Amino acid sequence: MLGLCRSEFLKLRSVRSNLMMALAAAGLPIAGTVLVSIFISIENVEATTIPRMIGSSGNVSMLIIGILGVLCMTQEYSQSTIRLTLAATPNRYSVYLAKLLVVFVTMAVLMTSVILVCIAAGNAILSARGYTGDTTHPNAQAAYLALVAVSVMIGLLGVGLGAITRNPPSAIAIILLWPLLVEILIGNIVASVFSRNILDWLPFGAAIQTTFLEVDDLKFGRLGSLGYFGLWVMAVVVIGQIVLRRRDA
Amino acid sequence: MRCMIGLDQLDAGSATFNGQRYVDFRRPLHTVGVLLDAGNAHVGRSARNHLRWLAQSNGISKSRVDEVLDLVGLTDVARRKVGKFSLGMKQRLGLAAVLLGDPRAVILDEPANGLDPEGIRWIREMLKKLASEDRAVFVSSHLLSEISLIADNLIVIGKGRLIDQCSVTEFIDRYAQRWVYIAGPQLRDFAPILERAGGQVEFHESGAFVHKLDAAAIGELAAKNSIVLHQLATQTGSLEDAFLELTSSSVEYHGSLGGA
Repeated sequence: MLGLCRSEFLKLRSVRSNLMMALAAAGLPIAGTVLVSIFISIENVEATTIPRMIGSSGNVSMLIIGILGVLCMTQEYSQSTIRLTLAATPNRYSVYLAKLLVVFVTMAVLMTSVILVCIAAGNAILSARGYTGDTTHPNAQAAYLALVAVSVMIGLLGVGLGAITRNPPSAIAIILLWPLLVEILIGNIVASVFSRNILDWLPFGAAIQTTFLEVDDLKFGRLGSLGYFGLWVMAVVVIGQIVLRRRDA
Repeated sequence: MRCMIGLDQLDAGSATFNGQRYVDFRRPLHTVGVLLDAGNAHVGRSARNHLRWLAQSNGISKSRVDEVLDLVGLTDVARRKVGKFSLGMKQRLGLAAVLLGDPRAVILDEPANGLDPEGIRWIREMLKKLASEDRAVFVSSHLLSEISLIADNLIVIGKGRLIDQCSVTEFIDRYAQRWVYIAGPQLRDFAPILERAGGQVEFHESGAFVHKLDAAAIGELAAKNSIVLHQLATQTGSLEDAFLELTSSSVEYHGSLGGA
């Protein structure tokens, strides 16, 4: 399995488009944090400034990571390398598991590193500008961990969607339109017609809220909502595995 | 071929390598090397990285990657992206992937497809070399002239069914037409003699083709009747002729040259 994981990691890192996506996912929060730290008025800096900046730009990075997860799987079909992959490793479950593990570890390391760099850079710049106040929030650590967890899960979701659709545009469209359009539409329709807020029941709605500093309004709490989103991801990943096993390559 | 290596589901039957199903191999590249399509490589990945991920998945060393690149003559372009490769270079890369695990069996689908004459000759020599190293080389091709040059045994399939399986020589003997070419100054006098003996004569510009009689019988008739012959040669149809003769009822799509 280790050799297979190394093989999948090599596939991921040896294509420029994947590296560019990873760079974008990493660069966005770092650039955002650095720019805010440089240009924000010192009087306006609060303990929540850096965590909020990381959280908001991290939410965009999560979607980019989802696309990276999609590409990890669909590139095999768009470039016809899936036949070579399955000829080299006929056990499809192992191939799929290796891809999931690689995405899991890579995205976890990527997002953790990004958050650490953002914190370090933000603090360094603010203190260089003479800010002496607190730059941490009691809930920041939990929000950061949730950001890493959601990013990893969206990456895995991308792999699952890629295995189901086998087509990059379709899977990317789903992973972008699901949170940005479909859930917002469903939430608004239900709110208008039934006067009920179902945001906590919508998978992305629940997941993204776990990355906020304050989660008092979250129906299932931070961990519960992460678990709820995790169930959706697991369902898609399992369906992806069934499709990969059953369909001709 | 895709069914043999588990890429497509089998409706019936089984395929085994050394008594084992392909899908049961943990590291199959050490036993079977497969090239189904030279285009099965990411255009944005370098040739070396393409082979490296394959090697890593089967526990094959980096040095073997360099060895096979050298073997197929791609060392100088190992860092170039596959998208910039010509079809011939992609075929070489595909063959390098096949040889990575030094397998005892090699499966190739249309390896000479789209290659220039030099590439075709290179593939031909490479396949002969592989076979001479006691490897089983299983090639699918519609280029029958090529197959006749390299194959020992044939499996003929039409409409998805096995039509025949034998050596190339046996196949031609069984299905190709044979005739005798004769040339000489007295062919007009000799033709009635041949026809009385059961032959069919078809005059050609410089000689005649005789069907239904073999060269020995024709030679004896010529000697007995004092006929001078300048040429007497048995001619056999090509592998392509034999194939078309055998599969004429198993062709799925027919074309026509008329009415264009």
